[in-house]
Amino acid sequence: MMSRLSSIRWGRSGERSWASIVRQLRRPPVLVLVFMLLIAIFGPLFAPYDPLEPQPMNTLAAPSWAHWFGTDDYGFDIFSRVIYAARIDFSLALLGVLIGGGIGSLLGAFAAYRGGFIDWVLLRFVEIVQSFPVLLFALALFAAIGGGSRNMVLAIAIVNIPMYLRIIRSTLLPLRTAEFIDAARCAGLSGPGIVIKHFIPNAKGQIFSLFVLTCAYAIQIIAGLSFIGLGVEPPHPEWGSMINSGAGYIMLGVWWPSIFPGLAIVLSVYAVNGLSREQMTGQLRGSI
Amino acid sequence: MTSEDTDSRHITKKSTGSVLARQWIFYLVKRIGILLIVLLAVSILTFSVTRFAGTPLYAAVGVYSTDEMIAERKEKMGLNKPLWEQYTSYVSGLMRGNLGSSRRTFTPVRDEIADRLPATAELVIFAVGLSILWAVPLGAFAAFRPRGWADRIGSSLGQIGVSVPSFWLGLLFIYLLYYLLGALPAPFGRLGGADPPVSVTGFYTIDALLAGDLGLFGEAVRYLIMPALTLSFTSSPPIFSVTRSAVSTVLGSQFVEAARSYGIPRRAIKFRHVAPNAAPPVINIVAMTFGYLIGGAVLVEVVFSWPGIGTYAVQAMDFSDYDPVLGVVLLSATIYVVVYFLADLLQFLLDPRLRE
Repeated sequence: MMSRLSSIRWGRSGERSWASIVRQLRRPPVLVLVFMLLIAIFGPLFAPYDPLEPQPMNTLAAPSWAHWFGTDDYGFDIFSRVIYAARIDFSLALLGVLIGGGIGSLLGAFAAYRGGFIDWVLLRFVEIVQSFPVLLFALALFAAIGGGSRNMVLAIAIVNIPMYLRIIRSTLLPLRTAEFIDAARCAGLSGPGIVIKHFIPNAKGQIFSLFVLTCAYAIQIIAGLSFIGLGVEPPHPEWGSMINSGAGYIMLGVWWPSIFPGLAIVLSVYAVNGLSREQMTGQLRGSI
Repeated sequence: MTSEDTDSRHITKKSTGSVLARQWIFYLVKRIGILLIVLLAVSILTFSVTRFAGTPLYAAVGVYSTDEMIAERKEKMGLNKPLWEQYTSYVSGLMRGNLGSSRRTFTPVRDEIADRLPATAELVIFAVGLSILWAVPLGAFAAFRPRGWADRIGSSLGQIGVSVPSFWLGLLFIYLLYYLLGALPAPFGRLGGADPPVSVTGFYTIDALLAGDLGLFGEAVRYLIMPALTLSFTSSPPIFSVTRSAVSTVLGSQFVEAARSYGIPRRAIKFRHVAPNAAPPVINIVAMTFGYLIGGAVLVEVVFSWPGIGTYAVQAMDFSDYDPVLGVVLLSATIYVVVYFLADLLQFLLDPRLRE
């Protein structure tokens, strides 16, 4: 089932011409992603207000020309905060996934190369970590080492390791008996050398598509943790904690403090997911 | 039964019984061994969190404590024993159902969880039931006619389902169904302020029916709809995609083609050949979704003030009250592992191909 994960739509194989790039850009998820990335990078230049400067006289104002997305209960401009938050959410997600994915891929390739006892131990490690629901795992971790952005990156890295480990391992397992690996060994290449020079490159497609899916997943985890008040600390703009701060007002019909940041999450996750043809399925545990 | 029968790799009618028994025992022992190892590791993990997070030692002695008081308390709590002894007493406590107690309310975590687990279970069962109702038939239809309407609807719902954060979707439902339409009650737990039915199963819907109170049953269902819908929407995409791929694999297989070429009616093929062969992976993913959601419904519970174990853990976390958090973590990991194990066994029983 996993082998199909490798198919990423980057044009036909070998085709790297401008035409194919332009064709890629016309796909809706790619358009949305480019848009969201531009916002994350350049958005703060255009944000109309300071995201950390409340206007106490103007709380919970409905969307208007002055405040496109309205203001929240402290009088923060929601539009500006949604823009600034893109940076925080994207960079935390990226960092966590890069760390976890890097370690996970290396361990997965290593497990596939070595087999035997180490392989068995690593697979049990995967089972153990994956038996915790992601959010509860993060709760337990935060109980031990405290919350905050830095530990959230750590939590994301840890939950990513088993995903990469298992999938990269199963992709590369057939290579253990491949002739060119034997040849590399005969040529005197060491174990780690073979893993890095020959195993990892053979899983490039897989790693990339996993990367895409786990980034989308990480954005959701970050938002979820911040929603229950454990991730990015409140005055800093973050989509999940913004949704949380508006949650109490939604029953009163004040929808804008929660709905707009949520739309930003939906758009980014949809866009990132859309890069991969294969949807997130059971292996990554659905959504948050 | 001779030994050559059991040796043969092809399962023939004659030998099935003893081969099955032997494979079955081997498989069972292996799986139970792995189950125990995973549970052991899970307990080591939670144990080390309790040591990392700090023991309730200082909470117990208070701010104005002398060294002697601390030493005495340490002795009493067994904190100066070697670590492995502390661990074994922790595990033997777990075996007896001792999950510690809350630092805030001083109630045993076990009792609180026992009170709240039915709330979570009722919600999750409803949500998974809802998912089965829409995702399985739609997945099957999508496989019968790829790129047809069922496939399009299912895939786009799936795509939205994985992109939408559950807590936000819950808020959206509250805004639409409670505030704008007033069709469903406010998101205040299982029954709002009303008196719950006499507890028999802990499931309000069933208890209300047992008490013969249809009105209360209706109320309980009305409170369930929004959170269950939210949970179902965000957790069902894997069920849809697994059903679709399972059915389409079976449809493409040679025995279905053979059945077709015999002129067996389509209906009969669907129910007699396709359904049983596509069932195992579907049952598996449904079971896993269920096992996962027991602890994975945290955010939805919080949004709807649902008094389940997830809300309990999050509230305790707010007060740095770690025993409840770890109790919930331990319980949900255990449930997940055990459900996964049972799903595997079921798979093994249903699908003879796995036994080879």
